[in-house]
Amino acid sequence: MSAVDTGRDRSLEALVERIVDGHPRSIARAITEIEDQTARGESILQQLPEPDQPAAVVGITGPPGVGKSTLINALITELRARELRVGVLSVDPSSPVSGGAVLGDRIRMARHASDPGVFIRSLASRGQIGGLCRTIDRVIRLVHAAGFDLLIVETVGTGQVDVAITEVANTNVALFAPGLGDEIQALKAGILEVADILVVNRADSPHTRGTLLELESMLALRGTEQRRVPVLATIATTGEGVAELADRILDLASSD
Amino acid sequence: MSEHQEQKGSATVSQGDGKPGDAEAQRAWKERLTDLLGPDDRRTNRSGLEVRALYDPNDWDSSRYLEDLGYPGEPPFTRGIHTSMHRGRPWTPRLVVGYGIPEDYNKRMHHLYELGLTGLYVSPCNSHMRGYDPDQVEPVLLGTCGTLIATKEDMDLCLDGLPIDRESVALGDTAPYTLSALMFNVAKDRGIAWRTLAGTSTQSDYLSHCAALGMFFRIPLDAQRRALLDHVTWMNETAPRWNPMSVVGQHYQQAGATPAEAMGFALSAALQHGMDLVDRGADPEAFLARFSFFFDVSLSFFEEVAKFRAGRRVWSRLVRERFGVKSAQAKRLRFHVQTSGADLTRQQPLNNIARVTVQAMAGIFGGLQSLHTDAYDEAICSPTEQSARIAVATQHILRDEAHLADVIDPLGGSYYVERLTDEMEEQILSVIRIVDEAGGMFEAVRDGVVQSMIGRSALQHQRAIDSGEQVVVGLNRYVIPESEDGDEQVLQRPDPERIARYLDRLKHFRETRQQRPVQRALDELARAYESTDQNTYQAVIRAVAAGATHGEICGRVRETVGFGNPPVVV
Amino acid sequence: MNHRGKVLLTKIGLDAHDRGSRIVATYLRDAGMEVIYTGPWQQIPDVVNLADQEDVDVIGISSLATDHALVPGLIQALREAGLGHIRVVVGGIVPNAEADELIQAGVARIFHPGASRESIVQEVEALAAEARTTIEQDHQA
Repeated sequence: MSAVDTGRDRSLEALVERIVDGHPRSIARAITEIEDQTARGESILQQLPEPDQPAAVVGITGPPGVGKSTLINALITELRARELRVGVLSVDPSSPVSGGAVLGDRIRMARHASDPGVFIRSLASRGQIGGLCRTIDRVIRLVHAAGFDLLIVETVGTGQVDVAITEVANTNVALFAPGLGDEIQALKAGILEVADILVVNRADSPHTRGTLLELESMLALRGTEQRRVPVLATIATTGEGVAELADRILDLASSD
Repeated sequence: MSEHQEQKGSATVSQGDGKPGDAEAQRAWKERLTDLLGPDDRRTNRSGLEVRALYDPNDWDSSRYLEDLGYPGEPPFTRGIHTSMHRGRPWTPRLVVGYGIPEDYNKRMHHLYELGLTGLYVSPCNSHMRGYDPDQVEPVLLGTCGTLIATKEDMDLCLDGLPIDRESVALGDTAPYTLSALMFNVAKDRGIAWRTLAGTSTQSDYLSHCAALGMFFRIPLDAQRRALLDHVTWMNETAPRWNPMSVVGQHYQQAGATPAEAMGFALSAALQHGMDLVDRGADPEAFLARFSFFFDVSLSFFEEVAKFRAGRRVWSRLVRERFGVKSAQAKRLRFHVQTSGADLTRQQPLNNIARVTVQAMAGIFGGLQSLHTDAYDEAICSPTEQSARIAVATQHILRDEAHLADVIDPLGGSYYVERLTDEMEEQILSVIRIVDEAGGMFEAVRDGVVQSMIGRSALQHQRAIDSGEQVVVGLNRYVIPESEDGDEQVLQRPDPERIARYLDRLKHFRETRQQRPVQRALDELARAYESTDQNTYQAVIRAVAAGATHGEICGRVRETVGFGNPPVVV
Repeated sequence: MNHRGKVLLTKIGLDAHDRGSRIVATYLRDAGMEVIYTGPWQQIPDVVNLADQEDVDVIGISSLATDHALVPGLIQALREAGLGHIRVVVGGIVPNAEADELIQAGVARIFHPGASRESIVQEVEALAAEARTTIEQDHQA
């Protein structure tokens, strides 16, 4: 082994140490390496210690404009009050033509930017369909190793495609806006089948009750052998219903 | 609206009957034209409408003159909202003036008055817009884009010796409406009855701020809605000559909306505000008569003329349909116009004088009630004394030398302008329909529908400039080296010493006033915002009277209802 | 690297005009870059944290009023946080005299009104590559 290689290894070890200590810049750099699928990124992953327990990963999915980021923002506040360290990975689609992306979600979580107990990272899907990026499982492993108790993965999508998220998340939250009518029918084969919690956000709308009832009746049609899927109402902007959502998420995370 | 749309089909009636619009003659001419220009000669305006080479009697059904145009001062007001229009009531030249400390503003205004400006306009510093006092932000940001105003004392200095009892005053005011509260308290001290005050709260339309500018967005959307309704209610009762509701189309267009979209959004916003007031039990005949509007005018000359003509027609019919109003007063689209800063260039800035002149003409032919002409250096900084003088002179030249105020709606009856007015009307209506389907303007703005449409149009216009399809002189065509630009570009920064002195004075004001009444008034303000039935604007008026500053009032309101930022729509 | 640059587009200070920054976001995306877009009124410490967590190569500040006067403070804060490799560009209305001051403070490039799409895309991409090279050299050091 050459001297240079040894030097590199030492820098790698130091980097991994800092990641495990939860040092934000080191985590951020390592994510870039993983996203870019570099050899260094692979080495970092290989050197990460085996976790004591599996990561608690919460997938939050919903159509654009339903208030996902705002709800996650409120959820972070709630989870921080319970002294949990929270990692958020917010995935936005890359342009299929240019490969570029505009990532605008984290701005709604801006007030957590300077909290060391919160790590937020925007990821572009980089050509992967299903609302996720192909390196997501590795990024999750990294952020988990950095000591974040709960990982939230935010993805855009409606209907069938977002089923992809169930491969990486062990708790799946699907978000709805009040007042969707026919769209519910289209959901039957999609997210409704895999979601663990359904949430109607913006519950201050007069259409909320109707949507809650529709979702409940859809779930009833799925039969009794399924486990009970709660249907919750939240108002992300005021934080209403968020504590209950956090309760449900943590219940499921601990039962897994 | 449907009765109007039907006529468009019947406008192309001529069937080779030898009349002016003879189909045979038209076809023959078209063939000759195609030989000359080629088959691919297709042009569109900013609203995406095709612009043909020629319009003829087939494009306008003059038999519907009374229904679609009518006489000035009569619905549907296509030709103007007043009987005599500019001939009897020339428009008010109104310059947005905001610079430095209150004394600087006052000096500038007196100077402009001597030059013949009549409309007062107070444009506050960005710190004020965001709801802060000048001592709450970095000093380097102060006084360049507007005047520092925090206290009643400041407002008094701004308006010193200016005739607020005779001339109407435009205030860049929004929720919680401290600027008008400062002025009303100054008026009271001067012994001027509130009932006699005339003017406009020009930035009261929170929906346009939320969707397109955000500068004035100080508190959350719901609280803005409530504050506006309180402001309108209080003003309508207390100062009947004041226009508390100024619906802003200008922000949308400056943010990139097409002229048709900007008009459509503004009218949709006005419908929303109107519906909200009706829900409160207000009488539409009364409040609609005091609605005023504020539009942008771009360089797309004929399109802008048609936008204003169509906007008036659409509005007068919409309010009849949706509010059931009968009086002509309640159906008039009264508006102020500002020439578009987005059309101006940093390159060869003196060229902007020509641009502003054309924009102003479009606004005048469009039947505006008051006009702000941008200074030629507006694309670089706030106007200097010289550039402001030219901006005012431009209006005087158009009115007194070119005699543009002599004839009412001089472009009315032009085949092109009438056809374009009809087409713009259709476009405006289709925008209003989209907003209706999104649940009305409040929801369309909250959900980002409006923002997405604006973003698309802005990008489209920029692409046209990038590709050279839209020529911008000095920028993508006829470019010269910057050293030959012919104009020194200086950002006029207020003297730091004057700013420091101002900050000392503000500190002194805070320290020497009676503190107890201020605290009590701010507590009252918080209670008003917490309640559902108290008028929040009344509480602002009282807080100012007790000596509270702008920043303290905004701060207390934010403590009570939260800090509001408009949604970011990418 | 297999991406063409990660850029944070933001506004600090008091102004809120965002027509320009939205268009630039689209330009950079269409050129294959990944753009973090924020609304206006960001605080400098938050911008530094955001740039850090997102591991961006370039920060673009849009300024149409006088907010560019705060940019030297941002550059200082980035350097103090050990993020001196991030290239900072300013777009919008900056008078010539003040442009020189910004360049001296460490601004990599100022895009005035009328800057072409090509120049914006090319220069931002080049600056991103520069920043990335600096980082990789750091790894090896």
